[in-house]
Amino acid sequence: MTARIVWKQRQSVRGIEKRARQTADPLERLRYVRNQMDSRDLPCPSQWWPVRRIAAWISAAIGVALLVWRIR
Amino acid sequence: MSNGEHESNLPVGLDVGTSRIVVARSADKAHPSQYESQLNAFITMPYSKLAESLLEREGVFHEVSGGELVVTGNDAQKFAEVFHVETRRPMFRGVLNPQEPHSLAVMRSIIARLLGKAGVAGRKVFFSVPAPCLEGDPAIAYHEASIRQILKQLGFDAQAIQEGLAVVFGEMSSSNYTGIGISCGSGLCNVCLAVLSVPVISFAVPKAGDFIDTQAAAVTGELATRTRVQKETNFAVNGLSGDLVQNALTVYYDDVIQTLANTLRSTISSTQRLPKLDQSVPIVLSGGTAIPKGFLKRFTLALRAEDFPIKISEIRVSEDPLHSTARGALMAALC
Repeated sequence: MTARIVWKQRQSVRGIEKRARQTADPLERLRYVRNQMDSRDLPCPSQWWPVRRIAAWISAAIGVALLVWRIR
Repeated sequence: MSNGEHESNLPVGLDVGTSRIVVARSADKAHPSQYESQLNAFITMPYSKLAESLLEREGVFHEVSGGELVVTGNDAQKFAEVFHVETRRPMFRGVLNPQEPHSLAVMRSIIARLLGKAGVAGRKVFFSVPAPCLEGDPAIAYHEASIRQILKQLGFDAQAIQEGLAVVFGEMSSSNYTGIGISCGSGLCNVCLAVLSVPVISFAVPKAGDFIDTQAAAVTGELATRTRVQKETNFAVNGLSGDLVQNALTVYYDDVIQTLANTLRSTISSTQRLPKLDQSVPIVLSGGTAIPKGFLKRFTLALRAEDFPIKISEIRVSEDPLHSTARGALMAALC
């Protein structure tokens, strides 16, 4: 999960919180919050970029490019 | 549709606790909840026609099972005091008591008395279930299925809700259902960290009110029932005094509080995928074990003794600690 997705999730959660605060009735507020969160994930900041996988893809791409260049 | 009929169609919340079973009802969606509870206990006595007719005449809640008369609910406590015996418990540590052959029948009888039959087939009920202990607890699945079956037989559409989450629903509307709900009951302390009503961490600590009663009774030579009565009537967690039972209760209360605070801290610290919380979150304590004066102060001290992994805005005891779980279950049912 990229930082951008996490940022978007956090923005979306903030929007839900803001809208929920405008609902005075606790039951209506719970209903709204549960409906909104039903199809959403909570933003988890502890997820890292898949560095090894990206490095492996870049290495493979450079290898293929060098091979093609040598053949030509 | 008459008022009574309308009321009998509305969803209900049920707190199935080790010590008490509480039902929460709402006359309509705009009015506050009404509560009714029964002690989750029973005593047995040998069957005789005379005893049965006496119980019937006095309106005592009882059933005949084999060659025994089984007195259940609040009446069981009165009989236990008269006969100087301990009440027997259909639940132990938050689930059906495996050592008790009458457990399921007694639970069925108490729940049927509190709820009655569903006015309309498929009437919604949310009932509380404990969270697993950190060591794991395979009995929860059996317990949940058994309660669901009892409710289904009464005509309800039953759904389970974890006790800690019910506390969050019942107490944390002001923080948009984000926070830590703790139900300190008899069998377990149930904990749930929820973010916008979504449970993130749920667990139970197997040290609670019953642990305090039995340990204090063991070191003072009293009956556990008597230490429980003393605990519920005039006990405050405010240090050691000259009274032997009070001292024992204080020692074991401290043990429960320390265990709860340490487990809460270590469990949240070890959770790897904890959501990013922008704001500090509240902690709400509920349940009978959180009632004595001084509990909140001790718990706050224990929690703040070391760094806590998330920011805490406030720590408070529920205004109505005995009904928080049932209220939360009712709110879930009304959603």
